[in-house]
This record gives sequence, structure tokens and C-alpha cells, in this order.
Amino acid sequence: MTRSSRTLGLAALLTAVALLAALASAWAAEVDLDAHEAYARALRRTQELDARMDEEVARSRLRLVTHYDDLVRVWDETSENRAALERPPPHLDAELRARLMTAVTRYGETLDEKRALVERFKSDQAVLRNAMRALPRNVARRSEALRQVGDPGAAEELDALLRAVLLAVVAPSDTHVRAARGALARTPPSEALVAPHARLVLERTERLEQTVGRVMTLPVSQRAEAVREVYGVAHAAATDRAEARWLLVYAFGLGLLALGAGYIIVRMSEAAAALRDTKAKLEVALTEIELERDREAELARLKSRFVSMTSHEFRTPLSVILSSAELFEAYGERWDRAKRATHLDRIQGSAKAMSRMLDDVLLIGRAESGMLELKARPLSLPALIDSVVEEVRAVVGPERALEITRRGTEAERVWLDDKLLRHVLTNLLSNAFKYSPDESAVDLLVETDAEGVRLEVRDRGIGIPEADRAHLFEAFHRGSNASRIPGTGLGLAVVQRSVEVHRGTLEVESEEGRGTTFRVRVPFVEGET
Amino acid sequence: MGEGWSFVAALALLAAACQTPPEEDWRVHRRLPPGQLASPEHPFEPIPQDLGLDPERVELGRRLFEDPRLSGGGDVACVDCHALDEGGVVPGEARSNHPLNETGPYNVPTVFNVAFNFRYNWQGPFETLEEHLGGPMMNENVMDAGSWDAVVARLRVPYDGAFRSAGYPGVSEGTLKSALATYQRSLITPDARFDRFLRGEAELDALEAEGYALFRDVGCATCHQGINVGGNLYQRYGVMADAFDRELTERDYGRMLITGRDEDAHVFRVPSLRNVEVTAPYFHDGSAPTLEAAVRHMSRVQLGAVLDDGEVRAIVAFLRTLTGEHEGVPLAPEPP
Repeated sequence: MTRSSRTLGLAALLTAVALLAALASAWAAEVDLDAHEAYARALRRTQELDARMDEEVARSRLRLVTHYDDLVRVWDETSENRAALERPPPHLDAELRARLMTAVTRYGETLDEKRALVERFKSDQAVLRNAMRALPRNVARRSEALRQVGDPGAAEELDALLRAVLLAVVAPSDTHVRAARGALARTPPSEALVAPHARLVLERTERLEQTVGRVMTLPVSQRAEAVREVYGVAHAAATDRAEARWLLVYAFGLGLLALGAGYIIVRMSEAAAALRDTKAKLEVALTEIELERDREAELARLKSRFVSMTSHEFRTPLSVILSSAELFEAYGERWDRAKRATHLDRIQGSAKAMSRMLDDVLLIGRAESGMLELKARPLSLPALIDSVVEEVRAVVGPERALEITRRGTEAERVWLDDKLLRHVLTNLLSNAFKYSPDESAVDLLVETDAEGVRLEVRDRGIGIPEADRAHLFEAFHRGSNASRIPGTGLGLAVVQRSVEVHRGTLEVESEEGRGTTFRVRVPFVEGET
Repeated sequence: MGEGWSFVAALALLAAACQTPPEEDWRVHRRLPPGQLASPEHPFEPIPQDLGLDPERVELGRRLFEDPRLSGGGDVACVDCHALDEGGVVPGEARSNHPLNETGPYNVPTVFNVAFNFRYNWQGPFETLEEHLGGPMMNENVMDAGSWDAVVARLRVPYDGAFRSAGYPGVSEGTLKSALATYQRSLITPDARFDRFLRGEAELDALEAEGYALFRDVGCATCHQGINVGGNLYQRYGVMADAFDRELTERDYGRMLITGRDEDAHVFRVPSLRNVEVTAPYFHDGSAPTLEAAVRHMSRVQLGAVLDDGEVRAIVAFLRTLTGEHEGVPLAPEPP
């Protein structure tokens, strides 16, 4: 798990927590749609119920017989509806809720006022209905009685009172009401069955008109409308808030999704990277294995080549040794001293050649298998060169001319691998003498500086043909123009491997028939001069 | 995976936390049954056979109605003043005169057919039966229950199971009122002869028919109308004449005691005349011992009419047709 995926995971977790918080707040602010519907229904009903109330009052007013159950039913429904208005949906904002409740209270107060008026209307209407029914009947009864006792004037008065009262009821103008009151005032109090009813009819009619007028003009529906308006605002606010909170929820939800997706993508790409990494390592390992196998195969190939080549090259000296030894065995007793010495020399020479060849082969083999190591030690370079020159002179004979030129620093104590350097110089000098005419001279230039030594061996011999140069340093390869001169084909291979191991450079310049120059530069072993 | 489960669990917890229990409202709005018969000729409606109330709650209310543990002293039950075999009132008594409380100020109104009254008590201060319960129960001179908390504390243990099996969440002020009011609503008396007459199932005899005609002509039916033959308006006691031939006491001021308005002096809720035959004595003060006395008094002070004995007898005969049956049993024995 990387840093970026951990960060993403943590962010996702935090977003999830935020999402939960947002969800909780959204739930808390959630608009209760059922409650809203019920409340909106109650609001709509206020107007309808108020209209029905007015209608019932008007109908009762005009009815000849009172019947109030329908009014009671409307009131029941109004009370129920009002109770519903007093329980607004829970999702409203506290401040707007308070405003709403104020509006509901005002509506309720007006409703209470209306209810009291309606109750008064019901009572008065009942009384009026009875008085209206009793008055004509009682007037008729009393007029009849008065006429029978011979008082048609009084009977007339009662009839006039009835007419005046009924006119005032049917057409309640000031004139008619005043006329009825006048007639009532003229009625003697002894008319107990007429006067009180007439008074009631006049009084209650007037009061009922007032009451009904007030009932119809009370601002119930305006107050209900006010409630409706406040509720509309409150509900819209609640809806907005709920929507805002849900938006927050969606935002966090989307964030969570994005982070989750990011987390998954990062984890997947991490896994892919790890896979690639592993694959690359695997490939490296495979390559190494292949290289190792190649190296092993190369080693095997080199080994078998060495064996085949050396076995071939060993045959010549071995056959010399064998033939000389056989001849010695068969004729040795009869040979003179000189002849015996010749054959013993041949045997010794061949054995020495084999030994040298074996040394060379081993060195090349070690070099090619990477086992030839640089083993530097402090030495005197002039002494080393003198020693090599001495050895070479001993082989080629004192008659061969060797021009030695020395340049540069003294180099009395430098770090070099004397064995490797010896191989290099010995082989180069030997070859120079071997492949050049006896009378020609060989030049050796030794130039030293702070970093190393430069050796230049020049002969004026047969040279190296162009075609052979590519294979010059291969073991057992010999120049095409050198077949008549004995050799193993190992010398230059040894030189090349030695220089290489000593981290030096080797150059050759040659012209067939004119001579060859080898230039070697070998660095002193660094830091130990 | 673990994170996923914990997320789901957190959501569930949150949802549970958001589920607040809904505000309980056990009030049943009193609603008159739909009118079946309301013509100018017959401004009355028959009582329905059944109001469709929950029988378990009715039965629970019945137990409460009969349980004296509702009272502070553990000695008064609702049924003591509303004897169902005595017309839903205290038999023969002029006051809300529980045996232990002989000085109660008002004549006890019957508990029968209270479902159809528009207000409760003589002054009409209560709009619902649930509200009304607090009146007699908390009245020191009636049940002296103390407080609703006290009542709930007394009844919680014995009634908890019964309330739960009746679908209530337990014993509380709201559920107690609901059960008691539901029971009282169930106390209807259908099938009075008058109802059967209104439905065209029975005839009134000659005297009763004359009484019915007088009842309407004289003007009784102006206030005593509707399903409950009254019980749906206020009216002043003594419209045409002073109703009192004695010194006034506080109770005689009626609704003025509630509203404080002079115009409401002597205004009372018009009582239902259903089963009036078995709920003597009459008026808020129980001052009329017989139906005849009540009819005479009412016609005089309310209507300004003087009825002769024959008319009174006819009206009383009609009033006796208003006696119904409760659970199939007539409230008064049929005349031989």
C-alpha cells in the first residue's frame, strides 16, 4: 500500500463519515410529505368549511323549522381541521413555525369569535322562529276574543301590530321598524300573549341581522389565507433546506464514489507496477541465467578448443621426444657423445617447449575464464626489463642486435604485475627476433611517466599480412607467412590477455616484408605507485 | 468488507435514531353520524344501530367506567352516578348526588347518547368527551381523582396488559381518556319507537301523534331537534318569563360562568330529550320531578304558551316514544 493509496483511503473514510453526517442532517431536515399533504389538505378545507358554515347559517336563517345537526357537523369538521392546523408538519423551521403558529392562533381566535356568534344565532333563531309562529296565532286568538267582547278597536290595534311587525321583519327599513315599535308601544301590557312575542320578534330580528352580518363578515377566510401564506413560505424554506442537505449528501456521495474509484485505480496501478517490477526482475534474472549459461557454454567451447588445439600442438614435441627417446633406446649405446647430446637436447628442448606451451595455454585459459588476476607488487621497472632482455638474449644469442631506448621517469618503484609484464615483453621481443632476419636489429622503447609505462618493440622482419590481422591475438593462430618458422601461435594471445588483465592497451602496426611494431601501454596500478 | 458492514450498520443505526415515535393523539373527534332524515316536517334523525367503535376499547372503557380506583378515595366509580339501568343518571335524585356527596350542584345529565351532544355539561364548557372527563373526575366534590398523573399511577399496574391488548401503548392520560370516551360513545339507545316511526317502521298512536304535532307547533322542536332531540345548541332558560320562582344561586347563571358575558346568563346547553322518560328529575337543578311538570314549565317560560292538561298529556305521551334500547334492552318497560 503506497502513500497515495493510503491518503485516498483515509480521504474516502473521512468523506464517508461526512456523508453519514450529511445523511443524518438531511434526514433530520427531510420534508415529511405525508404530513405536508395532510396539512395542505387541512389548509384547503378551511375555506370550504367556512363557506359551508356561512351557508348553513344562511339556510337556518331562512328555514321555517330549525335543525342544527348540519351546523354541528360543520363545526365538528372545523374543529377537527383546526386541530390539524395546530399540529404543523415537523420539518418546518423553528422561526417560521412560530410565525405559522401565530397565524393559526389568530385564525383560531376569529373562529372562536365566529363560533360564539353562531351559537348566539342558533339560540336567537330558535326563539325568533317560535315567536314568529306564536305571534300571528296569538294575535288571531286575541282579536277574535276582543271582537266577541265587543272591542273591535283593540282587535284592530293587535292586527295592525301584527302587520307592522311582519313588515319590519320582511322589509327591515328604519320606517318599518319605527312603525312596528310604535305599534308595540301602544299595545297594552295586558296583552301578555301578544306583546312579548311581538317584542321578541322585533328584538331578535334586529339582533339576528346583526349577528348574521357579523358572522358573514368575520375575517375567518382571510386569517385562513394568512395561515396558508405563512405555511407556503415555511414549507418552501423547509423544502429548500432539505434539498440543500440532500445536495450535500449527493456531493459527498459522489466524492466518496470518486475517492473510492480513485483508491481502487491507484491500488490497481500499484499492483500493476509491482507486477511489472517483478516481471522486470524476473527478466533480469532470466537474462543472467542465460548469460551464465552462455558463459558456461563458451567456457565449455573454449575448453574443448584448448584440448583439441593443445593436443594437436603437443603432438609435434611429443613425437620429437618419443622418436629421440626410441632412437636413444635402440642406438644410444652405439652413438657417439655428440649424437647422444643432440638427441638429449632435442628431448630437453621439446619438453621445455611443451612446458612453455603449457604455461601459455594455462595463462590464456585462465584469462579467458576470468580467473587470471592482476597481482601487483612494487618493483623496479628497469631491473625487470633488464632481466627480461637478459633472458631473451640468452635464447636468441648474443649476435642479435637490440637497441634499447629509455625515456621518462626513473620508475624504480612502481606497482606492476611483474609476471604479466614479463609475459608481454618476453613474447614481443622473442617474436621480433624470431620473425626478422638475423642481421636486422630490434628496437625497444621504454617510456615511463607518472601513470604507466609505454613499451614499443619494432622489428624489420617479415611483417603480418593484412588478412591475418583480425585473428592476430587468437590462440594457435599463426600468420600465413610464418609457417616455416616454428611457433605455437600462443605468444600474441598471451600478450593480448596479459595487457588486458593489466588494463592496458595494445596496438600493432605492420607492413608485410618491412616489419612490425607493437605498442603497449600499461598503467601502474592506481594509487599504489 | 469489514468497512462495508460497519457502514451499513451505521446507516441502520442512524435510520433508527431518526425514527422518532409519532406524537400520540388519541382524541377521537366527535362527529355526528351522517344525517339520514332532516326535513322541515321532521327535523329529527334516528339513532344509528352501531357507531363502529373498537369493541376491545369499549370493553376496556367499561371496566374503567365501573372501577372506583379512578377516584381519589377509591370509592367512587363513574357508573355510580351514571347507572345504566337507571337511564344513565342517578335514579330519582335531583343533584349530581353521589351517595357520599349529597350537595353536588347540578342534576346529572344522562350518559346515554352523549356521542350526539355538541357540548358537555349544562354550561357546555367541554367540546369533547375526552375533555369532559377531567370535569367530574378532578372535581373535589365528585371523584376527586387528584391529577391525571395520580390516576395513571393507580391504574398502570392493574390495567397495563388490558390497554396493550386493546392496541394502546400503555396506560397514560391520553389512552385513559380515549378508552373511557370510547365506551361512553358506545352508550347509544337506538330503536326508540320514535326512531322506528322516523324510519317508517312503526306508527305513533293517536295521543302520541297529537303530542308530536304539538311538540312541533308549540315550538319545543325549535330547540329539541336533530338526532338527539336537543343537545345541539345553547338556549336561555326563561325566554318568555322568569324561569326561577326562587332565589338564584351560582349554578343558575349557566354559561355565563364559562364565558363571563352577561348575555350568557341563564344560558344552558339544551339537553337531549332522548330517554327523558327514565331520567327524572329534570332541569339543571332537578326542579321538575315529573315530565308533566317539566313540559308545563318549559312551555310557559320558554314559549309563552299555556298548555291544557290534554296537551301536556299528549306531549308527554310523545316524549315516552323517545325511550330507546341499550344493547337490545329497552330502558323502560313497554307499557302493558
